[in-house]
This record gives sequence, structure tokens and C-alpha cells, in this order.
Amino acid sequence: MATTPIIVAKDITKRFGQVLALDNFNLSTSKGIIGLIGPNGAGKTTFLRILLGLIPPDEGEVRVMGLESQHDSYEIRQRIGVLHEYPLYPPSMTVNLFLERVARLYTDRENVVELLDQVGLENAVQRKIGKLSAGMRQRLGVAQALIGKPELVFLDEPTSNLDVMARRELLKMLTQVHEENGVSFFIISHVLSELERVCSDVAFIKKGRTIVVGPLHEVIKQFASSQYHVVVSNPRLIVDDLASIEGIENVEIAGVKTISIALKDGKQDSVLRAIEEIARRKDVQVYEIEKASTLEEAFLKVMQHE
Amino acid sequence: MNRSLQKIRATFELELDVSFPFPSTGVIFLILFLIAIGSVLLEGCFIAIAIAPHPPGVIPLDFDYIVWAQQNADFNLLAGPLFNLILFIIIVIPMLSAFKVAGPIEVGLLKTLLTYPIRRRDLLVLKVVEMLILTVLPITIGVLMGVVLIQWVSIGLTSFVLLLSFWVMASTILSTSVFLSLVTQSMTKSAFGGIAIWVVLYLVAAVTYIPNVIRGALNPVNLVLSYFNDTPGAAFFGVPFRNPVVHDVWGAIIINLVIGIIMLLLSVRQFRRVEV
Repeated sequence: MATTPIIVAKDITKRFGQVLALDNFNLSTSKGIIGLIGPNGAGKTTFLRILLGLIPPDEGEVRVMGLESQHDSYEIRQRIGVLHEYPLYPPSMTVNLFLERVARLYTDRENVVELLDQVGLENAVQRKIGKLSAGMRQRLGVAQALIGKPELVFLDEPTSNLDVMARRELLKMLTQVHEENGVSFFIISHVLSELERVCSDVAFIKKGRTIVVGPLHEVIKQFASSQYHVVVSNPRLIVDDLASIEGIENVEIAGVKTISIALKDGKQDSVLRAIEEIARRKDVQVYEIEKASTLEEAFLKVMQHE
Repeated sequence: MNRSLQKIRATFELELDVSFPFPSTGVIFLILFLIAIGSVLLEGCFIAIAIAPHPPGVIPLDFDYIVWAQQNADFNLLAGPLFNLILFIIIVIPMLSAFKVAGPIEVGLLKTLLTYPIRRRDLLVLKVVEMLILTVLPITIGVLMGVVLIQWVSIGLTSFVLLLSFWVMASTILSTSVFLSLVTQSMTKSAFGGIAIWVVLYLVAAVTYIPNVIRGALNPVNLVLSYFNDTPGAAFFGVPFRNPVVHDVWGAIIINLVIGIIMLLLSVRQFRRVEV
């Protein structure tokens, strides 16, 4: 049986005055953890607002879980949870009271105390929202997104303001909620390493258009399988020579001791030998040559070519 | 309780807690109540003496005369303060509407609320009802308590018509202010715009001779006051018009009410289109 797409966007166009935010945008994704990636101003948040029925598209149609995003907005909102990029919650209310109030809007809901425990806010139950740190407020945002036992959760930059430990905990929790309860997540984030850790599917967006959509491993395989990082003692001494090696498609300094290279298909062995040879000639020490098949590399490659 | 009623109640409680965290609502209610009761106490004597018959030239300001004058003033002890309190609600309601309707749009709180299962129509209507009750009810209770318990004036049909016109006018000021808040989506513009519009309309109705129904449609309290006192109303510009009759009064109240309902419907329509 074919899986029903959880989000379908067909030919969406949205303008704000002279600014074209979405230009014939198309997307179709199934259940899972989906990542939407794009540079600033690409139209990610505009698309999210259309998905939530907060703004209408000028043209096109959006369906969320089979429901039309504008007409059936209320029904959709009963089945989803949302964490906005810059969430605003009433500062005078306590964490507990706010979540209790929000929970009552849903027919089926989580236990507030258990949820607060799950997101790590068990010690801030009676604290006023205005007194919470940025990280705690972000945790509250995640809690209010999960309070109504949603089938689909939209997270716009969910790990911003969180420290490394909290980021890891959050990503672990999302994966756990997805695996145990079958909740799908639609995540917008700039931290690609995090998306790579949790997402099943990704979509790249640029200037209001979808460029790439597909399962994470396929996107990486297609666009970043030939990426390598060469860690050397002095990149500047050999970078020009590396560019002249036949079989190297692109070369650039990526760090103080790192050169990023993209290889042409089927040339790996000969190119890697040539790199070591050039380094020996220039008296540059090669510490490591590692494959860099990451989402970030795939994203950068796609963005450079578009 | 019916599920949809439960949801409306949950929406109301969340909205109220977001807009007016405890004990703001109670404090606002108490302040408006005290202003209303204070208005009756302070103005009562002056109004009574001003309209009571007295010998030409000197007003006998002894205690017995004041008591007698107050007993004679009757309806005007309620009408006078209420007429002046209109000016007060012309300032309070647009400011409250700006704070409760334009504010959440401007700062982004509405975006948070509208990602929950809350219908836009329900949210706006709840805000309107909440603002109406929060402003007009304490003023009504305040003036009635002041008149009945302190001035010992009995409440009759005339007072009922007067209070009805006050509620209708407050509702129209409110729905106009809400519409302005939704169109401008700016707290400052909507607050001062709303105040400016209604101050102008208030002055037009108060100081110019215009047909009674139009005067009453702008300020029904003014027309009701004129009708029961059988005067053309205090006006300075234009040709004096005839004293209002009962049809003028009901016509004015109905027109004012219809304007209020139209503005509310337009507001609901506008609120559905607001992009957050």
C-alpha cells in the first residue's frame, strides 16, 4: 500500500509586495523526520506559515495530512504541534499554568508534569515564563508543541539557544518520540550536522524554490560521495598544485589545516596518491585524508551549482 | 459540558490569562467601578443644584436645599455622570482594543495563539465580549450603586433606556476600535486613531444642531438625556432643531446598534485575513 504524503505543496507562489518569497514551490514528503534546509531568506519560514494556515498562498495548494492548509486550518491545528523560530509566550504566566491552559485546547493531551520532566523543566514548574533562561524557554517551546499528542510537529530552529548537552538530549528525545509514538517532525534548521543525525528525508530550498528533495542517505550519496577533507600541516603551500591534478573537480581551503576537495567519479585512488606525492615534494605533512560525505557538503555543493 | 463549549471556555481562559494575568482583570474592574461611583458622588450635588429651581440670583447652598435639589434631580443624577463617562470610555476602549487586538499582532503573540486549535472568529468575539464586560459592567454597577445606595434615587424605565443607550454606544465604540486595530495592526495608531475619531463624533453630536436621529446615532446617551429632559440638547452651532421625540430615541439607538454590529462583522472578516 502506498504511503500517503504527510505534506504536499503544489506550485506555491507567495509575494510580499515586490519580494517573491516562494516561487512555484513544490514539495511532497511522507511520514518521518523531515528537514527543510536553505540559506537565510530562502522562504522556509514563509512556507511554514502557509502550512499552518497563518498566511494564504497567492497561488497553489498545500495539504497537510490530506487536509487543505487554509480551509481546514483548524482541523490541522488539532493534530499538529508547532515551535516557532522566535516563540513568544506570556511572560507573567507560570510554566505549569501555561501548559495546563494550552493542554485544555486539545481533546487528547499529554500529562503536563510528565512532559515537563521529559523536556527537563521539572524544576521550573512554578516559575514565571519571563524568568526562564533562553534555553529553558526553548524547552518550554518543545513541551507546548508536544502537549496535544500531535501526529506532526513543526520545529523552526529547535536547537537555537541550547547548549551542546541540551541539543543532544533534544535530538535524542525527538528520535525517541518518533520511534515510540510514530510522531513525524518537520524541522527547519541551519545546523546541518544535527539534521543529519535525526532526519530521514531532507529538502533543499533556495530563492523560494525546491532544489532537492529525497531520503537523506540518497541526497548525501548523490551530492557528497566524492567529497574529501585533507588535513595537512600547511594547506596554502599545496592548494594550487592540488587544483591541477586530473580527477579533482574542485579544491578549496576549508580551515587552518584543512583542504576540501571534490573528486570526479572513479578517480579516488590515483588522486589520493597524487595528493600525497605533492605534499611530500612541498615538504607538507599529511595528517589525514577523510571522506566528507556529509549533509553540509551536499548542501554546499548543491547551492554552489544552483 | 458540550465539547465545543469546553473548547470555547479553554480558549477564553487562555486568552484572558495571556492578556490580563491575575489580578489585572480584578484591578481594572475595581478602578472603573470606583471611577463610576466617584463620578456620581462628585457630580451629583452640582448637577442637582444646577437643574433645581431656585430664586433668581442667589442659590441657597444650605444642607436642606441640597437634599431637596437632589431629590428633584432624580433621573439626571444618573444621566449626568453617565453622559460624562462617555468621554472616559472613548479614551479607555480604543486603548484597551489596541492593547488586546493590535498588540498581539504587532508583537507576535497572535502567531503563537493561532498555532493552537483556536478559531479566529471565536478568539476575536471572546476578546470583544471580554473588553465590553470589563469596561461597561463596572461603570454600570458603579453609577447604579452610587445613585441608588448613596443618592437614594429610584431606578425606573428612564434609567433603563439611558443605560441601554450607554451599552449600545460603548459596543459601537468598541467594535469600531477593534476594526481600526485590525486594519492598522499598530497599537499606537489604533489607540490614538480610535480616540480621535470618537472625540470628534462626540463633539459634533454635543455642540452642533443636527437632525436628532443623526445626533443620537453618534451619541445616543446625549439624545436620551435630551428626550427625558425635553430639551433640544446643548448645542452652539447651526439652527436649533426640535426637541427629540420617542421615535428619534429608538431610531438613534437602533442605528447605533446596527453600526456596531456591522463593524463587528467587518472586524471578524478582517481578522480572518490578518497575516501573522
